Amino acid sequence: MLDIAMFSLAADMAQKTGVGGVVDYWVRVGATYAQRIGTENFVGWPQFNIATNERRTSLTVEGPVRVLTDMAITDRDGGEIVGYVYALTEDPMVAVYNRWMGIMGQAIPPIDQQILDHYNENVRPTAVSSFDPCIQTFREQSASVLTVGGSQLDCLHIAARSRMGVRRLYEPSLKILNLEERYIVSLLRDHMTVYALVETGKFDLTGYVKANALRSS
Amino acid sequence: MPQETTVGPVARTQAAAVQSRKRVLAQELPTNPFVDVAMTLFLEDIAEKQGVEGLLAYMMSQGAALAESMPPEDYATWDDFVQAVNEGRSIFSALEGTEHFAGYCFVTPVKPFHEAIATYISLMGEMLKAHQDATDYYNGTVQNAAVESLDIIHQSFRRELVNRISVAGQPVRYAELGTKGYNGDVKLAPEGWLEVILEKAQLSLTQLQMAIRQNTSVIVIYPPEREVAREAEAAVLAPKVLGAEAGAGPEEAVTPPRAAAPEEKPDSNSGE
Repeated sequence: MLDIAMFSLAADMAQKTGVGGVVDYWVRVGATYAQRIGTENFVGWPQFNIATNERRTSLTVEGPVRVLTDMAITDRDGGEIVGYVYALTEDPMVAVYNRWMGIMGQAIPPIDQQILDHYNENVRPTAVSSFDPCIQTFREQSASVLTVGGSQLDCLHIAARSRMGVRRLYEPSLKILNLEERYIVSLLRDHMTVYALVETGKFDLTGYVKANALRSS
Repeated sequence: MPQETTVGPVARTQAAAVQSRKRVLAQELPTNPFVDVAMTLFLEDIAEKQGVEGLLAYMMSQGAALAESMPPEDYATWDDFVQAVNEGRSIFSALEGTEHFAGYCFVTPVKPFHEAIATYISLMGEMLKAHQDATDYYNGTVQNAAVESLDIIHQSFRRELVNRISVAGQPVRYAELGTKGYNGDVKLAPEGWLEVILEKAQLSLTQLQMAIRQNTSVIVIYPPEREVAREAEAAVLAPKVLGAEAGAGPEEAVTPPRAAAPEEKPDSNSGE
């Protein structure tokens, strides 16, 4: 019930604070969510990936996350594995959309599109649903308090696909990780979100805008 | 010989169809508790910025706004309405699986947000004190009927929802009879008014106890011709005094404080 009530709440808040204010709130909720779940430490990438497959990490609370083991990320020398690419088969917002349409019998309220448009125009062009400001912030903040083999992690959002098929690939991530666009698009056939977890400091993240880098409120 | 108790007119032959439809709805429209938890954190953020009055106002307006988003309904007869509720076809049962129990009494087996609370607790531990503060404030100023904070949204939703349901052209009425929290706490209608509402529901106290044992919400939905005297009904909505501070008397209209924009602190002296 709470999930589909979000549209009513968002529309009400947008009237009082503007759409930017709603985005601010959602970003803050994403950060709070990650902070409240807390820190995690893993001995190494194999242990972390097993825990991910078994849904025992903070990053799997949103749903099952698939470890793309053929997409291990190595450091510049090509020797050491410093990260992996991960993908979700379903975005948490899909259930909300389905329930709204099935229970209310109506199209998704316009506030959903207004929120994601505002985020894409004012923060970074990665949102495909109004919940993305929250969930993308959550992933990045959760990753930042995870350690694998003693190293902190950065979460780099790569791509997302909406329920209606809109695809958004984040160019800075493709460049930083040297990923082929064709391959990411092919991943989006079976997945709705693709992101990478890499050890902090191994890549120059110039050009990558964080999910909570709000430039307007 | 013990007297036989009746628990409702749902025909056994209909039960299978009802369960089948509800299973379909549950399978095809599952929730994602992650999103529900995010909504709960959203409300806590509001509590931090605007205080308990602001949180209360938002929760009440959220429940009412959700109800206002639902399409209206009109049923030719009371039996048609009851059947629609039982089969999950009415907006009153679409979100929470409400069922007819007996007389004019309806029940919700499991509140729609208890899974969210369970997920919240497993991810983050105890719920923040702001939830209890909001519950106490609601009970003291609006209606003494909540046992947990999300009841505020739930009851505000129902209060508005009945305005959208008509039977033979007349909007139905609603009253809270009992609620059970995630922690098992039970709150019944305030003493003194329980008898009034039970009479309205055509329910005995024993049947109420049976209902609240098996379910998490017990409510009364009734046609307007079952109205009792105006004074008694207004008094049902009056808050029970919990401590030294008195709430509104039965003759005063009890309306929630308006939700303020996040930059503003709500003025506790203002009202409608």
